[in-house]
Amino acid sequence: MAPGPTADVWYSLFNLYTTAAVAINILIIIIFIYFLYKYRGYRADSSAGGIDAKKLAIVFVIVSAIIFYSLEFYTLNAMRFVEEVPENPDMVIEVDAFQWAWKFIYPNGTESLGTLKVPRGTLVLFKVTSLDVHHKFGIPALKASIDAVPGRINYLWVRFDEPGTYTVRCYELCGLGHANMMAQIIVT
Amino acid sequence: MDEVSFIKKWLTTTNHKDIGILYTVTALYFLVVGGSLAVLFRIQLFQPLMDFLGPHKFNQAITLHGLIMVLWAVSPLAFGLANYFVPLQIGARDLAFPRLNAMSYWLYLFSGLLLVSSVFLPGGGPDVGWTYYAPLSTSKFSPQPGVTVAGLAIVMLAASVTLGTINFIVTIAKMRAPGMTWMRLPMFTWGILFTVALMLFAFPPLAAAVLLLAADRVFGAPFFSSPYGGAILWGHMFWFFGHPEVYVVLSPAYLLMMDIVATFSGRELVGKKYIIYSIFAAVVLSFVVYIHHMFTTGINPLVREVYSVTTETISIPFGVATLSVIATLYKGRIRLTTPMLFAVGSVFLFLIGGSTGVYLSSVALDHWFRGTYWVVGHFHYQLVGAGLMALFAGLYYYYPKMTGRMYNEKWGKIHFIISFISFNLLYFPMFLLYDMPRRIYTYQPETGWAPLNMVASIGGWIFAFSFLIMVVNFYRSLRFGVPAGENPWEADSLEWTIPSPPPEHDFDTIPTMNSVSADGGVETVEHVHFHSLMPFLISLSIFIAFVGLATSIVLTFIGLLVLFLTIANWYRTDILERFSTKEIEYEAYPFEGVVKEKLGVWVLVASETLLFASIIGAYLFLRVRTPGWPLSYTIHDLRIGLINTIILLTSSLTIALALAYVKHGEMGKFKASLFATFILGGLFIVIKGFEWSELASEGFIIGENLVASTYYIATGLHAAHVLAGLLGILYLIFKAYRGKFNSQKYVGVESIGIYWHFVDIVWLFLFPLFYLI
Repeated sequence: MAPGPTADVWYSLFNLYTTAAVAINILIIIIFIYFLYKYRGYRADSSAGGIDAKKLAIVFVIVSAIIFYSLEFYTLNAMRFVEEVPENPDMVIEVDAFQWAWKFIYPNGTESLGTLKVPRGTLVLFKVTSLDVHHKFGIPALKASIDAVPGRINYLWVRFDEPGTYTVRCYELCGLGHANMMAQIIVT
Repeated sequence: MDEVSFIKKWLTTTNHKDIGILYTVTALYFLVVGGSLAVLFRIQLFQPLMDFLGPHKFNQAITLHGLIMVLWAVSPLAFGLANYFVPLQIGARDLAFPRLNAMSYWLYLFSGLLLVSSVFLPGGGPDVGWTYYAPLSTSKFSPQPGVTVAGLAIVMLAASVTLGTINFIVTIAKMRAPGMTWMRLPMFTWGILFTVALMLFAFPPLAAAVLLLAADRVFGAPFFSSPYGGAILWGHMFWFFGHPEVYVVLSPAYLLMMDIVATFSGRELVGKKYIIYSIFAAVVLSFVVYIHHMFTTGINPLVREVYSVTTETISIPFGVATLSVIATLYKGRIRLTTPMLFAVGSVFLFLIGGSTGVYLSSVALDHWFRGTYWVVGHFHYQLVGAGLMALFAGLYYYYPKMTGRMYNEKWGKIHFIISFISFNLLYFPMFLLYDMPRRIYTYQPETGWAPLNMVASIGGWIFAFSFLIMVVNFYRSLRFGVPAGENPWEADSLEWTIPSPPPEHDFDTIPTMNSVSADGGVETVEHVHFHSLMPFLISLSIFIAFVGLATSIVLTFIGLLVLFLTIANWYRTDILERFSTKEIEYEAYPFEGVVKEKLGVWVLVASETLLFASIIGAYLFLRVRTPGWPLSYTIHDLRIGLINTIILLTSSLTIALALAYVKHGEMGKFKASLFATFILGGLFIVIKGFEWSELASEGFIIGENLVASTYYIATGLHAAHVLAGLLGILYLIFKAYRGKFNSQKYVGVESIGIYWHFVDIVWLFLFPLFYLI
């Protein structure tokens, strides 16, 4: 079972893009290598090769537009899903990023440095900000992430469906301690 | 040639081929510097918890690696080839402004040295990432002077780039051989044209951003340290430059690859016209996709949706172009020489880099990918795979033309095989490391990232080593290579119709173009190449002045003194017309009536407009976000403002009169008008200085608040431009008193007049901003 809905959505979109990319690239590369092999030192009329460039370009633009905009359609759906801030979250956690640690503030005002405990299945809304420089709050297992920008609050919701310990890391260069700017979320 | 004249030749040359060689060699040098840094940090990342560089050195290494590779290595390598071959491809004997070209080069070299020397300063070089994200890059979080010095190096490079931009646009627009219409230009020349057009719009915002950051760091001005959007403002200004910069790097390489593929397929490029339209579309689109670098900063969802769509759209023109390359192979006569292998290899890597970029255009996927190794893998496939590999193809392709000898084909192919495999070993694992943050100096064993990092490091070292194969091959072939002849590849553009290496003056007669190949020639006036030490001295003195800012102010004064003396000497030689040449114009559609110098000034004005627009835009961006506006001193003494406005407007009138008088040959009135313009400009500066000292004595100083910083920076930058204009007017006055203008000869008056009007118009935008609203 996937650790949460954000990871589900992200991976299904990722798989869709990967399927399209692999299929198209393999097709192009096969044609490419075939031409390189077939026409090695091949002597034919060097002028046109009988290709109608205009027709080719038009067909390509239409086909690729259909592919790209269909992908974009799924992207926009996924984007709305993960970005829609839930109206009634089970828990609102404030996250203060600073050089080089994460501070979590529970709804009752309790502060915790570097560790957050939440019950399994809770819909958590993070209100993320930074106290100094630009950071990025990311939970790899959930594929959930948002920038921590000084002077503004960004929202990120997640649901942990599996118990365990989740790592939080910083994903924007923030100085000497960037590599070790981590926290843990313990789901029980 | 004895030793002294050898050194003198390279310091003073203005010949485009010499400058091209200087650019190429210097870019390869910076490639080695940037590559060595990469070898070092790949050692640090080889295993978890390595203790080799540590965070401070690691952060410096990645920052310098990024800056050097993007700005000082890959793009200038393309400009090395461009300097050498664009004039040859269009049938010209040099660039439009040879001495400015030399200055572009020397500014580039010294700006690179300035950047590299920053690591020797106390606190080390810049360690904030090449993207220089604020507020990390402000003095509060990174006080070391190295960050400022690297910023100054970027400003210096922007000056070099602006001069180069002007030069190439004017050259390609005005100096084509008879019959060389736009559609007959080789793809490489098109690539350079697209690149300089992009640079023209992308570099001024970068220069503006770095200037504002410098004000932040030196005077404590609250731009990027502002809590009301400072961080986001940097993102906007940087990426407005940063995204087009990708195409700046890529476009010459990508289009050069097409020339090479066409040559070694023995046919014309299929659908050349559509490729040019496509790349043009991509160039335009590249300015409306940059927000995708900021998808996760929390900006408006609608904006992000729009930019996600435009970003996916930009894949289409590149797809069309790539498809044309494949279609060119169809029924061709393919020869898999080293340049062809590198060219084809770069297309493969471009496909992978492009596909992984489509993922990043998807906002939902980018939420996660941003800041991970997926991004690192993607842009290295584009910039190194598609960019640098295609430029290597270009080096092998043009080596016989530049040296007159063939490189060793066997070692060329070995270089290709080793570098292609090691490239993929190096960068493909990065896609699989999509949970690993970028720019971390170490990682824990339990992350499971070790095996992939090991593969990447080993691939990286091999890739770095494989570069040496090319260097040795080229070096040995200088002596042992087989003579190449005029056209070893049976290619059909103009550079292949002249001997290898080309003679000093390139073409004996200017070739004429009939359909797509050269056809006969026309006689033309004799062409002379000049030598001048001044471009070198000017760049050196700016370098010394900037080093002085970080170390000892005495050096700054010495630098400024040398600069002043050199400019004075430049005036003297120019007024004596030691460097004037006669060029006949053939193919200049649609710029037939516009003189070279005038076109150059127009291009300069376009770039300056963007500089001021960026600064004013930054001010408005912060102003609407800052609560409690208006603050005090938002509006200044209207009387002073009005007087200065009237003075400047009058000076616009007098310079216009000067032009009218010289056209009618009324030399007395002409000189008087020039003189009046100079006095009025000087008066403006004096009043400005008076106003500044008044304000400063009231405690309104630059670091005070946003109002003060913007006021001083915008008006200060404008005053600097007025001073530059005054230097121009002074030049006109000297020249007028020497009797060098008459009713037929007044280009200088026209060109400097355009600039002067521009400076006045800028004031008309600043005046309401600081005195009325």
